[in-house]
Amino acid sequence: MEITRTNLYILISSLALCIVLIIQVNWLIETAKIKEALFNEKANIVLARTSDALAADTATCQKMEAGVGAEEIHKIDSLFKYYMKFYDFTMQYSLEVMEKKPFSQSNTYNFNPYPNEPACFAHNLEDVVRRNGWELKLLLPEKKQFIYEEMGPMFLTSIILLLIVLLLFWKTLKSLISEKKLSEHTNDFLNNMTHEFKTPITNIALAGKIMMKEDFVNQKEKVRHYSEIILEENDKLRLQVEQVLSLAALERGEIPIHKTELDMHQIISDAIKSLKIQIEDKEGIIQMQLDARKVRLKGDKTHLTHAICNLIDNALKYSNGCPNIHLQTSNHEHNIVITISDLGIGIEKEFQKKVFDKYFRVPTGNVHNVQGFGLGLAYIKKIIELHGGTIALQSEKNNGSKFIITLKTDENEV
Amino acid sequence: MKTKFKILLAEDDPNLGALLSDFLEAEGFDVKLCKDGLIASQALSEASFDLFYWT
Repeated sequence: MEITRTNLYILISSLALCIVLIIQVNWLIETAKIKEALFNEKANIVLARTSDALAADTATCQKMEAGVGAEEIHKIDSLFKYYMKFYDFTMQYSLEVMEKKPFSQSNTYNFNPYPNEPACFAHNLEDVVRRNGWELKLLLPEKKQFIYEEMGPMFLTSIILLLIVLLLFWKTLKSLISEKKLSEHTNDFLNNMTHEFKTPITNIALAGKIMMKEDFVNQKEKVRHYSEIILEENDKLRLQVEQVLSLAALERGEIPIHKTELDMHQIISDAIKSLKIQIEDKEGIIQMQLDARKVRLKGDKTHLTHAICNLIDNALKYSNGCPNIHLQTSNHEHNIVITISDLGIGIEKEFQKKVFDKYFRVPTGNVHNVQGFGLGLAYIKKIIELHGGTIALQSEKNNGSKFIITLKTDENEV
Repeated sequence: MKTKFKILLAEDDPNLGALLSDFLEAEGFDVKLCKDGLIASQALSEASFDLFYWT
């Protein structure tokens, strides 16, 4: 695959964005860790200071030798309150004075084996009570909440900003890709248009040159012949210009759809009638199987006829030898389904989605064996969509194409 | 006698083919017009030409 400059830019910026994302998430996790460490530190300091204060209070110490009663607990509690306020550490807590469990070794420690249990901090009371193995426990059930609250605003802003950056990056990327595609198609279109316009222009010039050169005074028949050619070519040019203009107008929403009551079968037979010359020219066969019973709908007669015409014309153009076209209608619930299939050259899988894009033509190299601007299917799709319908394509290379149009019929019809 | 140069012209657009061959004939060439490559190659095998022109 060729790596273009744009692709390289996209790749680098995506990579940079990913790294920034990872760094940001890392920062958040780091901050959370630091906040937790700070929390633990504070809890332990509060514990240590309380225990120190208890140790300094000899009267209470002596009382506690005998056992911990309500008075002592109250004393400890007021000390706790004081130090918690001192360290700006106000939150719910509970405390216990109990015998030390055998597995704890260090002087101060904290453990938190279950996420839903309160954070637990303990401090040995050997300075206070001479009896060994007493410890003071501080239980803080709101530890997580406290950390989240401290981190909340930062966390939220980071997430929102990251989401905005990601969204904008995605939008920018999408519009860049679609712009690029459009510019490619526009190039194709310009190439096509110059080719399509060249032949009529050459023909008109050539006819003029011949008429200038030869003495036609006595050959009215020849003058007539060349004039006819000039007019014919002029007509072709006019048609092509109109095609381009009408699609551009449709794109801008300037073509109003005049909806009237229509019979879809009538539209189909009108379309076939107007293509009679082309069909006979190619010795084409059209098989009709019009089984639909609900055929009435509200739509624009001209545009719908044009759309069907275009599809049949495509089937004629892209068939080798004598075209064999199958036209079928049926009802599905309140919809009429029109299928137009041919046994022609078909469309490769990779191009099937693109054929409805404006200016897209299945690449044939530099061979312009079939004329067209790549606007036909885009126009058809637009028209069908303006009627609230859908168009789908089933095709296989060298095995024909099948276009399926689904349109809503008038529902109240039985 | 001056011999005419023979040109084989392959062109699928009928108007352009007719006009070009008229023009070239007026210029004094002997033109054979074919509407596609298959017919042109057949014509090439049947007769010799001084110039083969296709677009």
